[in-house]
Amino acid sequence: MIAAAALASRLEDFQESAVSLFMKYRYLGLVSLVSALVALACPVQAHHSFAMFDKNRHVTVKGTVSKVEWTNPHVYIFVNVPDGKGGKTQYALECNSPNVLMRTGWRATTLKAGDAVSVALYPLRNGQPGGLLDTVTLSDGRTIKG
Amino acid sequence: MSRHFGRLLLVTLSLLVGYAASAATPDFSGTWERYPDPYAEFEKTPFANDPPPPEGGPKLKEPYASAFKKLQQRREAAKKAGKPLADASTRCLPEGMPTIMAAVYPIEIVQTSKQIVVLAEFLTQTRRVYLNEKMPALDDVSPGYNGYSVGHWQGDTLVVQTIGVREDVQFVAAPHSLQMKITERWRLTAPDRLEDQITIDDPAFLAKPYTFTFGYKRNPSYRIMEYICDNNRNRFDADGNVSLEVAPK
Repeated sequence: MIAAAALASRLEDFQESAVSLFMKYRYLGLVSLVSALVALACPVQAHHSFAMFDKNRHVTVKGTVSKVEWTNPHVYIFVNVPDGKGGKTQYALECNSPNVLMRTGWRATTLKAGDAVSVALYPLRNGQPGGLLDTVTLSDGRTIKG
Repeated sequence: MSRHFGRLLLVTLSLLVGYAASAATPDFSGTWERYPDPYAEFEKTPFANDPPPPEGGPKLKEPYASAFKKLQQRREAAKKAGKPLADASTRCLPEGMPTIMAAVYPIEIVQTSKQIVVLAEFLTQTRRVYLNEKMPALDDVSPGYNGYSVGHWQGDTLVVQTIGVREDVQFVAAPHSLQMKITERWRLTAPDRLEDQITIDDPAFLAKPYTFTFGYKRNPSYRIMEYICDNNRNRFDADGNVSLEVAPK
């Protein structure tokens, strides 16, 4: 029950931050600054089905990068997100594979521990703190696709 | 004089024959991506459905046909429940034959007069086809992911035969016997277009041979990169359902 309430409150945070991010972007006229990175030949993520993630929920969290695992079959970004009670929750965010990310303009050094980021993601359906990364927005305003 | 002329004629003729022979051998070298691209939907959304099995899938005999159908239903139900069933690549295992030829990531073909090597970007897989060699007896082949392949030229077509694919190495999740034989016919349909017509023969499991064709387009600017699957965060329960490990290494 408590877990359900916590989840509901987290969902509200997600939605709230998604809206506020959009408003901020619209205000700053930055919506058009969405990544100019081009996918040349972007192979499918062959590794597994994406049914673990909720395709019907697209949420945004803000936090600080704690770790980057530049590995196959996927790159993982870990982000500490304040839980609003003085603590933080670490999210595991699955990205594409290093070869696909390199071809779309990412580098292993693009994100590093300590970076402030805003991340749009499809959350895990089992309620665990993690999801499939859609886009990440860096503090300099660049938005890149996961 | 006439002897000299005869020798010249012979040299010219042999050069011409040699040229004709080399011109007749198509060059498959290069990096190839599937064309038309069956995975195009995934560039729009990661939640796209997998492309359906080519030609509607294999026509299995009973009881394999019913078991295969039941497995597909279980797979769909597991996906709907958010706990997809694991397959080989979810476990970072090689795809094997003939799945490797589906080129989910591009494949590179290295061609010499003695062998053709297929280097798949996905999982850094290697497949070898030995040219103009006798197929060994099945018992002399160590069962493996890609089996053992020999090939020979028939005009502009490379005919490749494969045996010795392990029974647990499955294409479109369909079962097969260790006696399965795969025959491929590779040919260039245009300078930068390749097709591989694949026929799977397996009388113990198949009601009739399963034939389908993969097409490819040469991509000279694509460089195959390393893909070592050493950070698999998928965890599997006893029923083979997948979940994600969220704790960092």
